[in-house]
Amino acid sequence: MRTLKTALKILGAILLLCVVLLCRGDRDDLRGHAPDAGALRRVHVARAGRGDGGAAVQAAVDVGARRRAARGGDRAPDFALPLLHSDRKVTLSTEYRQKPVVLIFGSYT
Amino acid sequence: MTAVPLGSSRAQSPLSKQYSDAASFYVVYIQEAHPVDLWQMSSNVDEGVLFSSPKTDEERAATADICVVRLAIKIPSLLDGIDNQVERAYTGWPDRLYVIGTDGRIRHKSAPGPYGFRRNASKKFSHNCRIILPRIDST
Repeated sequence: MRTLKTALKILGAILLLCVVLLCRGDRDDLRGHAPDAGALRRVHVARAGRGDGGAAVQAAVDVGARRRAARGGDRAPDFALPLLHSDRKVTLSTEYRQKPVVLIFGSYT
Repeated sequence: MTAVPLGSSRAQSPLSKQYSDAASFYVVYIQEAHPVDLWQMSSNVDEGVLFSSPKTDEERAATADICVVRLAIKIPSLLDGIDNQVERAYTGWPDRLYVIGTDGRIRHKSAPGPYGFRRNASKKFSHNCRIILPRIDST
């Protein structure tokens, strides 16, 4: 009986610890990287209520890729992207060799 | 809902002006966060920000062009391909901020916006810019 009480106390303590950790705002640090946008995308698809199967499958596929996504301290994945209103492309590695680069990801909607 | 940061004054943040000599600022225009065919936001309807998910590079460029012109975004904008390769590598969707050092290392990665751009996160980004950019620039 005493063993059972002890086990329940330990279990309760673990559950409490889990709740505290989940309620903290710095889950990024606990996971070692920022929240996975794939998870957010799944929420968005679910909230949409009309997300088609293709989107849901794509979101699931994305999760695997996103686990390998860039994290703080990593070498930044290089890219060469076209510059809007221009014929030229911008290569990240060329840019950051000159000075630090701030990237702002986003869209209109 | 017009996505942060492109649709907000933060896209024209004094930081980009303040650090224009210390760092290069780029918008990376990625897949839409709230297109009409996925998750339409009532605020987007109110503001007339109604776009379907682009299916080609050209369609994305056209949407980005409207965005940049309407919002008078001064920061140079790069277009991610319709394969979303760069967005996936950086998990940039729906919005995110990065600072890349001259050694090619990621010095700052924000939480996903817009919710990740709340006051504390913005302060952290500003703080990192103030601390990291001059330091990186001097190395």
